[in-house]
Amino acid sequence: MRLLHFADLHLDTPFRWAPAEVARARRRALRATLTRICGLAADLRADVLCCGGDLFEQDRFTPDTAEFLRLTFARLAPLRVFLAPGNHDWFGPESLYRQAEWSPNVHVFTHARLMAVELDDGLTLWGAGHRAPANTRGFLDGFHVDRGGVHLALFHGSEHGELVFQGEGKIPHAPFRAEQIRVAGLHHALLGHFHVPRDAATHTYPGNPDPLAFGETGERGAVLVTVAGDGSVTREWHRVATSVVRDVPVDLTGVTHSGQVADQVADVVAELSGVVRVTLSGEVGPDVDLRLGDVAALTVPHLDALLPRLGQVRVSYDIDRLKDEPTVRGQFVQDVLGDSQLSEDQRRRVLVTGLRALDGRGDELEVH
Amino acid sequence: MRIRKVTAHAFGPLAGETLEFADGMTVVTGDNESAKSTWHAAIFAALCGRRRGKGRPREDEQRFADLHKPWDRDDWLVSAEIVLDDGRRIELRQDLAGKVDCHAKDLDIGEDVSGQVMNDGTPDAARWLGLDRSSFVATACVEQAQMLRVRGEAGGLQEYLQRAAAATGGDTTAAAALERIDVFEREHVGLDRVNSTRPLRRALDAVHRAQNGLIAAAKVHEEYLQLAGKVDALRDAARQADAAARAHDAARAAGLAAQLAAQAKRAAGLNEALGGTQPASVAEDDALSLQVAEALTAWRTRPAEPVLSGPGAGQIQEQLNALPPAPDGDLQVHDTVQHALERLHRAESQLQQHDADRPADPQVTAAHGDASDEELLDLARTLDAPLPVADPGLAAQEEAACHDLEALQRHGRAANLILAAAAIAAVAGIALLATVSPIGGAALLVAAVALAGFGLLRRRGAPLAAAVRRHADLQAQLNEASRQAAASIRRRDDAIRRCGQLAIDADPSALRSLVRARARAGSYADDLRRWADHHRELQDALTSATVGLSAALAARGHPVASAAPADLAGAVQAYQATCRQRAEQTAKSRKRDLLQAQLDARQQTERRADQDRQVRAHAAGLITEAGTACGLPAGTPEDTFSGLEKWSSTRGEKMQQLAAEHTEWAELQALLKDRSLAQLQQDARTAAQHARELAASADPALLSAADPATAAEQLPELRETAREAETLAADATGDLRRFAQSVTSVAEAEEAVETAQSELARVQEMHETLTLTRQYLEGAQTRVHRDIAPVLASTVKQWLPALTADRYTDVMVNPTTLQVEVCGPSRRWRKADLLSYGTAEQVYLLLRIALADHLTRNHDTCPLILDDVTVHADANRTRGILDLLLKIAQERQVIYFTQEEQVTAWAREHLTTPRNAIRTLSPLAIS
Repeated sequence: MRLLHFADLHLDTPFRWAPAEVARARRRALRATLTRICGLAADLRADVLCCGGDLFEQDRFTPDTAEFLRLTFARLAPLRVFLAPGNHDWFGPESLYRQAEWSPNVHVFTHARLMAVELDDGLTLWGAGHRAPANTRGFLDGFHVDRGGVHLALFHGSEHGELVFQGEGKIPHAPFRAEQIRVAGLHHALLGHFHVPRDAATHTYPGNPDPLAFGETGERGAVLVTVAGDGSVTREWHRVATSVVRDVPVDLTGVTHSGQVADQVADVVAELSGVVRVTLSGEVGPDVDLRLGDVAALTVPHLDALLPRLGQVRVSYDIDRLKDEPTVRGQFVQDVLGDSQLSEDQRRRVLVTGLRALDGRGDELEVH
Repeated sequence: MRIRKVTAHAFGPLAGETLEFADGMTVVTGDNESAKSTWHAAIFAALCGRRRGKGRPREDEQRFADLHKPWDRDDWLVSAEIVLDDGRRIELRQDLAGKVDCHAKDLDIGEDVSGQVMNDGTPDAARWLGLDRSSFVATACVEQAQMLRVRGEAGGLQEYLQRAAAATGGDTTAAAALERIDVFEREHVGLDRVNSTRPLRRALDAVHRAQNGLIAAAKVHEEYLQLAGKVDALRDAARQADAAARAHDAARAAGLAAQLAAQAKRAAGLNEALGGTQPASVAEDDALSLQVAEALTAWRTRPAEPVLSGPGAGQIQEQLNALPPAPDGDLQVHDTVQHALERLHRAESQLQQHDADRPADPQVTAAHGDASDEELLDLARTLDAPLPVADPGLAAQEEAACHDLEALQRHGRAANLILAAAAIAAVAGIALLATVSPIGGAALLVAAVALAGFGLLRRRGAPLAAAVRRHADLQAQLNEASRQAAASIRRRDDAIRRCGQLAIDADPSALRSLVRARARAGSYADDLRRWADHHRELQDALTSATVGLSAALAARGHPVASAAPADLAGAVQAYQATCRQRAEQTAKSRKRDLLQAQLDARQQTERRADQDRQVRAHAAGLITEAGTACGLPAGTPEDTFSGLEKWSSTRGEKMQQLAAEHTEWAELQALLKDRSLAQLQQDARTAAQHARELAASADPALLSAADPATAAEQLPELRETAREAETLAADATGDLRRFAQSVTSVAEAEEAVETAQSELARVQEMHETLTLTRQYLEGAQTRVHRDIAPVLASTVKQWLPALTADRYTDVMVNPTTLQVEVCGPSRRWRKADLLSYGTAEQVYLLLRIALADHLTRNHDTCPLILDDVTVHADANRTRGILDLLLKIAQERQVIYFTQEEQVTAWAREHLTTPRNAIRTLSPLAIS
């Protein structure tokens, strides 16, 4: 039995870090990725396609998305599709899952407890769905299979041990411990919720198949899970993302004019593609008029979008010398440096703004 | 710092030339075109070099290059040797063209010390002074052009000071910097006013719009979800209604199939039982059968033989004829007569009882004159009253009080005698005291006083007045008691005398009995009057009752002759006797009705018996006829009836079997309904298959719950319900699709909010930064101006009197604006800018020196490099300035470029020590 598993696609999610056009393109990319996953299921001759939740976002999905999903999965028939609602696409009275008139090959796990579906003789898939956006209890608490054969589980939940890999802010919906899988009599669990991929001995988190944020690491995508007769599984990871989101640093140290900034950024992104966020850092000359808008407006046709942001950018004023000046400038520098109430960022901006004003650069007073 | 020498390897028109300087003051003279200004610039370039950076050079840098870059060669190089205050000798080399071959090298140890003074890529020796190449020009390196500029502009001196105070030679002031911040903020932030079009307001509006957009999008999305939920519910309801209809349809089909199967089975059974043919007719022998049946029925239902007993109708008729007729009139005493009689008896009885109740006469005499009952009772009370007796205690008290009074009167008289004796003794004592014997007089006076005191004590101790009042009171009480006793005796005597006049015993009891007898006589008269009144009323009632009874008897046909009681009683008795006679006659006449009823009944019975006999004869005839028709042997009707019953029983069994066959045949035809048996069986199989198909598509639970018996009945309503539910769901689905077209992206709305908030945050952060910067700049400006103003004033004041030949003796620098004012002995303050041309220049020079001193404090000593700064001064002022510079040169190196003869002459006269020097430049050759 071959199951293609994915999760956490988050259709219709907002991309707050992106300009409107880029955000729309990102959402289109998410749909394209689902299409690619379905194509992959057919190409790999998978018997079953599984989604471990957060397929879309209940609070944001558009009517168009319902029809898109219905049609996409209907085209896979007779390949069976199993959907386990997560905390973002929870199954409620107004859920998309209820609205869509699914084709017969689609099965939605609508109960908040694991329900059995016979995939093959002696192979059972247990699935459950979130019925609320929060406070869903662990599906494995008090659960045990009630029949013989090989047992798989499909749900959206948080394995305690994985939380450390997922970063801060990841809320443990439907929590469980890895050892509960075997205790429950299950051979393997196909999961969703954690965006960082994980292929543990008893469970698989495929991660979000298409980028949702910058800085995502790990090979994410869809996982082809082949189940042997003894319940052992082999996993094959497939990259399915239709877009690329990169986060790259650009060191501006030594730059003395804004033209060099553009050159540096262009050099760094020359070999890249997709959406690229450049983080500018380093020490630039006092005369450099560094404007993020200018960087964002660079002509980079090979990229989907170029999103600049400021990191630790310092201006190479000789602060030590300036502060010793018995002048207004020196006094200003002294006062700013000596005010413990200022944050480092405020101090930097106030210093550069004041020094530029004293240098007569009245149209360059905005410091990023 | 001191500059030993400067070599212009390639600088302007100079090539490979060196100019050396003294440690103190060096005057460099030369006519026009002797490259004084070039050397001035070369010194600056050798010390400070040029900024090395990418991009276009600044305007001042470009101007410097235009003026001093060699015209006929590519290299542009100067060097200098300087000595720092710590004694280090430094060689400075400035490659002004390539900016690569630049260094600052310690000549004693050969170490490159460029790193100590590196500024924008090249060594800048001004760093050892605490300055940089820009501020060095503004303070220590004074060009004639600068002097001209200061003089040529209104407020130029003040602005120069502000610039210098702002950034040691920068071309701006703190005020200008603040103005730039204000302008920038107005343009790039603006105010948070509703009508503002600046970025802050725009950003706030954008955030507001975006948030409203998000709220609207979320609301529309929520409405969409609710509508979708409603559609889902309607679809669910439609599915359920359809499922219910399908289940009932399947149940109905199943019931129909079962029914057809049963019909087919039954039809097959009937067909087999009847042999496939219609049974014979049952109409044969019907007439004979009917005749037999009628005969049997007539025989069975014939009446019994009638039996009659008792008197016959004739006998009863005879008894009836013998009875008397019924009487007229009352059969018993009529109620009116009875009531009138009772009334009469009651009136008579009441009158008799009243007569018996006549009141008895008390036999009382009520004479005794005109004495009223009240008077008689007063006489009795007077006679009853006891005579008062005098109180013996009161007499005793009066006697005791009299004795006490007398005793007190005696006591008072003795005291009066003592007092009189005391008075006499006092008079005598006074007389003795005044005349014969003072001692005796005095003793007599003392004795008089003692007597007086004793006498007074005795008088005070005897309450005579109280005793007199008490005796008088007791005496008055005793007199009053005597008077009351006398009055009582007099009243008693008067009462006895009155009784005598009335001829009554003077006995209180008799008097009271007489009063009570008078009361009883009055009561008897009243009772007798009331009795007589009631007696008359009863007599009237008796008369009325008598009249009433007479009238009642007359009304019943028995008039009364008179109202006398005897006549009336006789009339009543006659009426009562007549009623009794009539009652007896009536009792006899009432037997007539009974006998008449008996006669009618007897006559009817006798008629019915005749009819029964006829019916029995007719039934016997029918039996005989039927027996004959059936061929039975002749006999009694009873025998014939028995034979006919057997015949009828045999024929009935045969007919019953035929009728059953006909019923089954009819049932078979009804089952087949013009079909063959095979067709019926095929229909049953088809129905069963259809039922199975419907059951397969129906919900098992609903199907099992559906009652096949009532399914067909419920099905139309269920189908209608399903159709309506489907219509509702379809309509709602259409609404949902239309609504979906108005649903906007929540994600895009959220992104719009994020974008707007980011922009607002950017503007607010810029506002915060600009505000903070302004605060720090204003604070720094205030503090620096406050610090620098007294320093400048002090320095200028030190030199100003000598420089102006005591014309100006004091100077003041405003710490806020750095405006410079000077005054003379008259203490009248004038703005330095408004002084004469030369004086203003000299004040400016002094301020430059003061600034250089102030700005380089705590660093190496700053040399002064001056270019013809006395050109506008008169001879005296020039001399004063030069004297001043010579004094300054004792502490710091002064290099002075001039073309003035007076300066040259002064230098030759004063710069005679090795510490000072004169350098003369030759005019450059024109190539």
